[in-house]
Amino acid sequence: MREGFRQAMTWLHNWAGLVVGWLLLVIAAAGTLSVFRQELDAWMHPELARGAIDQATAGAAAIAWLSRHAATAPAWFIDLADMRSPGSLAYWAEGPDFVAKMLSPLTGAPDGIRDSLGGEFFYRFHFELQLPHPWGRLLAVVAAEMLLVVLITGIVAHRRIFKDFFTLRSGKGQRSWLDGHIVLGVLALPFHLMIALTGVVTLITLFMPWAGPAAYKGDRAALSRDLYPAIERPRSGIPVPLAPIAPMLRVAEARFDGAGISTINVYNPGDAAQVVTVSAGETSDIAVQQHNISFDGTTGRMLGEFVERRPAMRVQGFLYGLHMGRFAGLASRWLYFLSGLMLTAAIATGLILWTAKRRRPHGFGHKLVDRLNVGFIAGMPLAFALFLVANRLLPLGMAARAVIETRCLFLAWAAALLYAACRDTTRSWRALLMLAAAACAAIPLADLLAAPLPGGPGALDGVAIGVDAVALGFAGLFAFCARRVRRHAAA
Amino acid sequence: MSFLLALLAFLALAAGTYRQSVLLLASANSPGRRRALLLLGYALLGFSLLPLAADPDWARRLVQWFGELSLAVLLVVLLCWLVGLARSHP
Repeated sequence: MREGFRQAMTWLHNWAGLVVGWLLLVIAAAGTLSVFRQELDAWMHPELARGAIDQATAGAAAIAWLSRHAATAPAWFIDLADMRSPGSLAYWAEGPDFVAKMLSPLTGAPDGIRDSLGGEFFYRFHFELQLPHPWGRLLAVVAAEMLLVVLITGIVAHRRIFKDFFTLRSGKGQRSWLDGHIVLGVLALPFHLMIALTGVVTLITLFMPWAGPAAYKGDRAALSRDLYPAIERPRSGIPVPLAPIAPMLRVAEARFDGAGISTINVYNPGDAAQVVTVSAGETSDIAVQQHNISFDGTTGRMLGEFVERRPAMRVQGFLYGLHMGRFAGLASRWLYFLSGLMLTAAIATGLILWTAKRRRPHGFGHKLVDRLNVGFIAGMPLAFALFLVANRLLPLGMAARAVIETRCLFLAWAAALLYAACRDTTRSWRALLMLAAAACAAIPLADLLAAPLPGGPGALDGVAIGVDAVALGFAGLFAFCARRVRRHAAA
Repeated sequence: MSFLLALLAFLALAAGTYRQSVLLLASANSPGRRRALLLLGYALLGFSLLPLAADPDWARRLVQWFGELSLAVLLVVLLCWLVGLARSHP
């Protein structure tokens, strides 16, 4: 291969990696945590019992509560409780805003359940970045595209990729960072390539925003109807109560052939034109395919059933399914989590390597990158950990509790960035890594302090042990890194 | 089973490279032995795919297999790193 080409690829790898590096770091870390989104949801709502759930009963209870408390909403959307998710998450529009409430699968009410975004926060943050629609998603798709560029140019740039496959040398400065970067990038390379490509496919309509409207001559509603076929009826204005929902859910469960129910959407509730659409849950198939059954909400009669069989949509569903990993059993989910951690760490080591390689440590650009690295690489885990600690320590009855939990995260992150900007980087690395370690160690402590009664809902079980053990593992890792920084500074 | 085979495969592949053979075995393997170890490693990697062929749920298992490869090679890299650390600080 010609050296000129390799150098050009190296240049592109370095600069493309730097420009989107911090964004990719955040997206990769949040995506990694959302592998266990339902488990985090369960951990962050310890009032809800975990285990087997009768979905028809849970659905009926949620609908009964919504009929009383959101009767005027144009539609209700419910992510129904299942084996992994202990509560039903209901959404509805109230004026210009959307309201979300976690509902008990037994009573259907949110009473006594702490107000928290739970694992949903990390899932949404992964591709919406807490920005208004569509800016977060646009940034996420650009980042996914750039990740593909960075990965491919990285493969070309590192000529000794196979010779150095098992090599990880410590205490050799820049060489050690390069070893770490290559090892983390190469070990899970198939995962990294897959997750970047499928990430682009997942947000394909934003990646190529003009293709669909051009084919449909600007009729976006027709495009949406073709992509996601559903039975729609205009509101009639005649008030009619909703027919009992449980029989509809039992019919749907029987037709879903063991897949369970994922979502219940009720359009025009309380109106003669009301439609109930029930979607099938996760199966062991890699592909995520639409399987919906619609019922007349007034009579309970089945209106239609849709199973996605179009080849292009099946391919898209397969790639989307690979990205989401919903098919994965527990072992595969841990492997997704591990691979996601390796991607996050590869991005972090790449960013650190950028500064380690530069010879002008006193230039403005170098200082800026160095300080942003500290604020993001050490500040982000600190903020994420404090989000979980806040979940346990904030008073249960606090108004807008979920918003305050999220604010805790962003305030801690902003403080970390500010601290990193003002202090010498060696000191700020050490201080923030120690704080991140302490915050991670505080997660199981806070969990124990706010522990529910033994044997009660949310008591110490697999989910609680898993979250607490992973937090302790991260605490050990950050403490180890802080110790290495101190030793390095002393040397 | 496929994870164990992959772990053995990567151990053989690591021992088949000059640098890691010096690190793991304290002396360099002869070129002939290194070649044999590399062949063994690739063969074991191929064999680690065999349990998937018999599995009706092979597509899902293939995704898991890639994850198992990453975990196996991570363990081998950590082993080499720890041996290197132990050698440099006896």
